[in-house]
Amino acid sequence: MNGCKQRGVSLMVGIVSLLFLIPLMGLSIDVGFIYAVDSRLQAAMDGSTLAAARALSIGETTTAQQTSAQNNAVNWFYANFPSNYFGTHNTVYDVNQGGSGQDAAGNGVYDDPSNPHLQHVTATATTVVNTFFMRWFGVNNITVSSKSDATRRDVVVMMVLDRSGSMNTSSACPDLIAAAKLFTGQFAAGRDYIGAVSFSDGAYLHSAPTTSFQTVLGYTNDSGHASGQLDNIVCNGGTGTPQALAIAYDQLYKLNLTGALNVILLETDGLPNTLTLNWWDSANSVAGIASASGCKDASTSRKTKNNGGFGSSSVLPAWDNSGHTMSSSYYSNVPAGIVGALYSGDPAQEAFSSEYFIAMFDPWQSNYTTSNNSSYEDSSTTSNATSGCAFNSGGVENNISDFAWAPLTDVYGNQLNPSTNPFAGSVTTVTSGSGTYLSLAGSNSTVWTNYHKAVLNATDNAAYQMRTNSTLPAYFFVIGLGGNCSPSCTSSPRTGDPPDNILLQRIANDPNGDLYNNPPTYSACSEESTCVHYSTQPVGTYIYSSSKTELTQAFLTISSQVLRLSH
Amino acid sequence: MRPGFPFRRRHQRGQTGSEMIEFALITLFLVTALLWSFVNAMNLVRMNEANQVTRDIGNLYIHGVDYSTYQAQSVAQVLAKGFNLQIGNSFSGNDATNNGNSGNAYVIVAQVMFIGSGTCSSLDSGVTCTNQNQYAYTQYLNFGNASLQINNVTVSSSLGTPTFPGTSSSNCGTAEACINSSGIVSDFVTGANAACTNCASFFQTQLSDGQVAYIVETFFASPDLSFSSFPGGGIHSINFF
Repeated sequence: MNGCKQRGVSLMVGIVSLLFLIPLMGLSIDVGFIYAVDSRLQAAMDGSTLAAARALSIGETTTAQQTSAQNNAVNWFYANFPSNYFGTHNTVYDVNQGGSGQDAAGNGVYDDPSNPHLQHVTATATTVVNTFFMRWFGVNNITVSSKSDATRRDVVVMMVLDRSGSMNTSSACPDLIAAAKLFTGQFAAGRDYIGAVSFSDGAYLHSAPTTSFQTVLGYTNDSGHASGQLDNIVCNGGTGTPQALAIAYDQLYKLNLTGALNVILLETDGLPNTLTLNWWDSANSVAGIASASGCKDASTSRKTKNNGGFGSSSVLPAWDNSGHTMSSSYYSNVPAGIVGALYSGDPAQEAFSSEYFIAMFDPWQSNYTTSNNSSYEDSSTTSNATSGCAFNSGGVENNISDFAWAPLTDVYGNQLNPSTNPFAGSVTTVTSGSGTYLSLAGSNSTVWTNYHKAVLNATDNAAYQMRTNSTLPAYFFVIGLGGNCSPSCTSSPRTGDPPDNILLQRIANDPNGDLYNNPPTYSACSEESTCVHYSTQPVGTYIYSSSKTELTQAFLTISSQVLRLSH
Repeated sequence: MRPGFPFRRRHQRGQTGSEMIEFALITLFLVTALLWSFVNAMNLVRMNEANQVTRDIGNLYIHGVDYSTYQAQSVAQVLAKGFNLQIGNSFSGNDATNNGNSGNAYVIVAQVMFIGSGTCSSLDSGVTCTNQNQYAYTQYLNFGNASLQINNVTVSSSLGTPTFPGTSSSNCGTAEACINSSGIVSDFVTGANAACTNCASFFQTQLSDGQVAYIVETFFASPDLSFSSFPGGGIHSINFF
């Protein structure tokens, strides 16, 4: 072969081989490119449907909420997958495209067939990816598609709002009302359920959980605002937290939406200090009336305990005139009888004005504008049921000498001396016959210490029982409001104490320390000797709001967390 | 075999070295093309992985994982295996700015809320609603290597650079947003420094009052793909949930 003709053969062979090598290398680029777009598209789909599920709470009607979900899905999708991302084109995003995973009408927002309190948001997307090298083989582009589904549980919230007198100390009551209405404005009217209990020394049920909560309670959001029962709250009186929690949970239980997210939102600015008790032990047919008490039973001869009175259920005086109906729900109805609320002062009050009690006022308030601690049981009865009682003699509030003991559960079954991890430790008990009771004997100082522990324990135990109920476990979200002590929470003497962070941390079953203040006001649960976190129980959030001006942000934070949890 | 047929053709004088030159030319092109395709293919592969990592971190975040803890950052480190995400020595409690590490990865996790008129009207009288009609951070935390460079440029969040003080509260509310070690921003309604100035550009339509977006932004550099003075590039990924 002629040498001149051989020159360049290697070059030619190399160039010819490039015709195959470059497409092969290009193929890897193209395929990688397509996969990159595909993974991005899927991530965008996930983000969009999750956001759409949350957006189901926006709108005043279910139709408006579905529209809101669809619009937000599109909004989020293009935030994640901008137009012309990686040169893609003809991108089609649809939440109403029909097909598998959507309902028969082709709606991408639909109820779960087996759980009416679960909504799905399903969306599909396609986009066209241009190829760089594969077009040499006639493949100019590839269509990539993706699908995503997210769910949102309906939310049932019972708000438990503290309207005790201390809420007036810094005029926090209007801030509470405004923040609570902002909270209701974040949820889906017509779909979610919200009710409210407000409490001071007694509790008042404003509304059972209802889908008309914006009309009944009031709300504030982008769509507008409306007045409701929340607007008329007047803050006054003590802090009967365990009773309010019980009434709130009873409403959740009565509604019994097990497929929904059941939440109790507690806001309080102080320590629990009031329990509602029944001094008649029906199991042992014995009353906790002291022998020296001048209280008289309802027998014809009106006998005192020392004269053989209070011996059977038929002669119990109607201290509580009508009992309290719990609608045959989680709790039993509270019978009429020697039932009433016993208020004890906070530690700060105890320190500067001696032990302080208000005995036997009506725990079931008829409205949400007043305190009942000046309304004694017998004021509403025709018979002078509490005549002779020391606590009823001329308005003497601080005399509980009529009582020998109190039951170890309040009328709702909240345990004053729980066997498992009592918050304030064990209380002093006494036995009488076959029964064991909370001791109320001794000096006022001794009694106050014992009773104060019992109230704290009962509050903690109320939440414990509600979280562990196997039928309807409740999530607790708690806001503790500080700064409402008079004249100051950091000086003595003062008229009340700020909320106990560890108690509220336990109620929420929140393992975290203070995430919302700098510097933190309390430590992680694991670092506090009196804090217990149960990892198998619903985990909620506790937020400490150091002043009334932060209430709005605290309620907004809670609403976003509840919606986040509803996914 | 014919007698005298050369088993191996001998190069003639004018041919000597021409194949080598041709081969060198081809090789030069081939190696360049190979390197180019290798670097790009590897970055595409990493882009897939980065998208997946960002998505996974976000998925955990939206379901409540607290990335201000070492344990949660360790989970992110496992998810980002292969990207050399460094989070330093173990720490207890919370650290929203564990960002002074080496390594090739940087992660930002944030929540932003749109502050509408309803929120502002709920404020206590006398409190100025500074962030009305704006997006504001309600949480912002970052970990990994904040000094990371991609193509010789230090990475920065596409959300904008918020004025956060780390864990110091000395300038809270004045020069900086009020943020704690968990990354929680407490003055998101009233603090001008809590505003997310670039957030609006991502959304086609404005969010509703109180509506929250969860954001995960990641940066992964590829220094192992650098050749000589040619940087290896890297991946930037951001996801809104």
